[in-house]
Amino acid sequence: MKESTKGFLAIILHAHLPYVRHPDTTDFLEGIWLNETITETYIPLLDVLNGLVADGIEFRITVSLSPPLMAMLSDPILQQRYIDHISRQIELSEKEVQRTSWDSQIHPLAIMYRERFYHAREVFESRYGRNLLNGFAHLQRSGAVELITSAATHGFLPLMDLVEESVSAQIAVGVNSYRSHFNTEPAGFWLPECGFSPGVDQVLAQHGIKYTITDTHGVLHASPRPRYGVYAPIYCRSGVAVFGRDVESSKQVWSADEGYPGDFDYRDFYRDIGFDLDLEYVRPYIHRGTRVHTGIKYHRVTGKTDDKAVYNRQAALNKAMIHAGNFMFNRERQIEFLASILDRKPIVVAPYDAELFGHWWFEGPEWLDMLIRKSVSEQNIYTLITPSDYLRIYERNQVATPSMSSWGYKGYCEVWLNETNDWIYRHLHRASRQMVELARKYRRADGLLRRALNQAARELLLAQSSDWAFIMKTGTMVDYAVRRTRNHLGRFSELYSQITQNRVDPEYVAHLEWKDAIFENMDYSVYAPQRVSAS
Amino acid sequence: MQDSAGMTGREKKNRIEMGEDIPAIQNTDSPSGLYTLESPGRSIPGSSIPAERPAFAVQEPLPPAPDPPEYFLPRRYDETILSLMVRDPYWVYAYWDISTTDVCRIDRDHGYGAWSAGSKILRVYDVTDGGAHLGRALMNIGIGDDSASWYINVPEANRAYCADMVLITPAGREIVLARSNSVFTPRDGVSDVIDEEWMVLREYDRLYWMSAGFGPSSPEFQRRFVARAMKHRLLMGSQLLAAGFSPAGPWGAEHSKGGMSGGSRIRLRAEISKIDNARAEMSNTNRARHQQNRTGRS
Repeated sequence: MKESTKGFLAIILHAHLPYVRHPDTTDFLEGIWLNETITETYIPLLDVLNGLVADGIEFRITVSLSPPLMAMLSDPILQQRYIDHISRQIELSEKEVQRTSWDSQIHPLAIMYRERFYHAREVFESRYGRNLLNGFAHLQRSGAVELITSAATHGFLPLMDLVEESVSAQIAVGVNSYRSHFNTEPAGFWLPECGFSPGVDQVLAQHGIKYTITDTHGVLHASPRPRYGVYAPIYCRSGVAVFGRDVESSKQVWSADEGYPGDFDYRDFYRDIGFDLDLEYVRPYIHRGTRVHTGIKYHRVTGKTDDKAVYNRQAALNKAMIHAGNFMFNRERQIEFLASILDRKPIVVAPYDAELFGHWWFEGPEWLDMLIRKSVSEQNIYTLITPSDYLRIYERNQVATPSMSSWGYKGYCEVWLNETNDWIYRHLHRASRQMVELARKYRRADGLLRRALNQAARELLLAQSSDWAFIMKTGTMVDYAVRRTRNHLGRFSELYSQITQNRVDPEYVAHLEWKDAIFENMDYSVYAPQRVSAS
Repeated sequence: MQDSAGMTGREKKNRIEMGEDIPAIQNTDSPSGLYTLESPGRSIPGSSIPAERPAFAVQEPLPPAPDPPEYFLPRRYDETILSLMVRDPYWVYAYWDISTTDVCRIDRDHGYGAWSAGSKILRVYDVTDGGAHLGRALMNIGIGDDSASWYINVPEANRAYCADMVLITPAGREIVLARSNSVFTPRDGVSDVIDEEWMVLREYDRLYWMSAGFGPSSPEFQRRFVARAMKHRLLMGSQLLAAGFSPAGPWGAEHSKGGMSGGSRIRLRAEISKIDNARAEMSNTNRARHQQNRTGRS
């Protein structure tokens, strides 16, 4: 820590994708989510963080990995599919290098993509042994990165607490999943969508979690009123520390009007050769004749126009440097001011979706790289830390109960509870009650019965993923989200019937174990936890 | 669902809920009928990652597919239930069902037609200061026979609510059919409570018990740790207050002057909403492109 530091900046990247794995087919559009995010976000972020470590930069950053993402990144089937995918990308980029050889502006970009794709395949196979979790684990061991976990299937907890065991199962399985992948205990827990409701902290405490993060008003509206606003964490009565999101630093990155990613020099997300070029030419690289993004994009945002100018990589990187400097300058002024009015060093907590970096905002990883380098070498006002570091520095914190909140639109539950998706809760709650009933009735089951109970728990957890309700709300790919909800609930219901009627079908159980193969260490008894009392 | 196009806002809000709003679904999880089977247990050549798959994964030969291509959820479960969920400080969502058995019993006890001719009321209570029997009924919402859910606009944030589903028979008799769970709506501003309590969590608490052989996974450890932490915290809180820690720090002082309770708070919410809008837009556009892809932009 810098000796003269006046405060702290905690950057938190939350990486999550819904569990999309269909072992029986490669022929579904949704599979592209993982493949393109590996190339565009996860590998570039690992590159940036590894580069910082290799250069001896002393920094700290927090990365949250959701259990479904951990499961997918470590899945051999999906790893092979990524290799197949990136190999096709390489083939296309080779064609593009040839096709654009006459064009002095586009040709260097085609070469850039070709290099990126070759690099992605190389590091994916050789450096990380196909499992990017190895890369994250290495960064954690290096001391630069603090990895934290999240709920089992990214369930939105405030809408689950009608059946408390559902909340505790989401948390228990999320923590266990982290342990099984990283062989260590998570210090922090990312609440999916920052969804907090009072009581969740008690379950987190039972699993040894030291801190979590809420949206600004989760802490600001806590009771008693927090003395330091969101610029210091509060302790829940359970002992879990809660950090609140800083509005200002979020706005600079997220805001559609003022945010950096919309800058005219940055790469445009929508102009992609998958849409722009002749259908026959791109056909092998799109989805069954349906045009999709190929990841090769030659234009910049340009402005509010359809007439997009060609992307200039150097100009974009220059802009990323300016934006990194601007972000640093604003944090310096903000922290200087806060330090002048508070009687302790303030912490500014800046959480972002990891997928923003690289996937949506192409230059995001470079911006982060420059921000960290500049923060470490060009200023002394703040130090980059993780929430755990802060709790080591300031052991004493105010006790208050955070307010129910989320970082979704309007700040509460409406994104996941509205006329497009409210029908799911009747079914989810019923299945949750049935799962609790099973876990209590069949304690210490073994053999086939145990496998059936564990699979029932998997199906329930998969149905609870907040992604399905979110997709229903956004109105695109709704069929897929509805189908996933119905199928997981349907499979749960069938398993429930088989179990309670003492007619468990080994073939059916085996088939579902193969089809919905998440959480290999699943233990259904998380739905009938031993009560921990304070007496 | 997307089935609400063409409905008025009120129709949407009060629509028939069970089953009917679930759109028709294509077969299987994945849209394709093609099956390119892969073994879940095969090792990856050249990979340094252990190839073992979950013990539960089935090795070749693959099991037949006893999984139906499509599952349907029932319209209702024929159970008597009334559940409340909080949407935000001012809206609570209710869903319900009344079992056929209960309907028959009502007709048996109160005369045939008592159910069908009676009025169904959703009665909402403020139970912040006690149970429904003590609480005051805030509102009666008339419910159509076909309704199974409702968004309730509650008058105050930071309050506890519960509801009863009530049948008023043609003879004027009130019968409580179901009582809901209680929910607590969140605060919509900063807390009025400014008494401060402070806490130190000491690692030695944990180390002490771990040294005594209680690992973090042991329920006994958890129980004793929680007990000890709670005891310790209460001590710390009172000690600190006694030591003269002011309840109004720099922020508290600002707040107590009203600086944060009025305009600034609204501005803060506006800023948060702007950011959330931007996030939603990005997510929407991100996913929208997949939709565009389906329609084949060219």
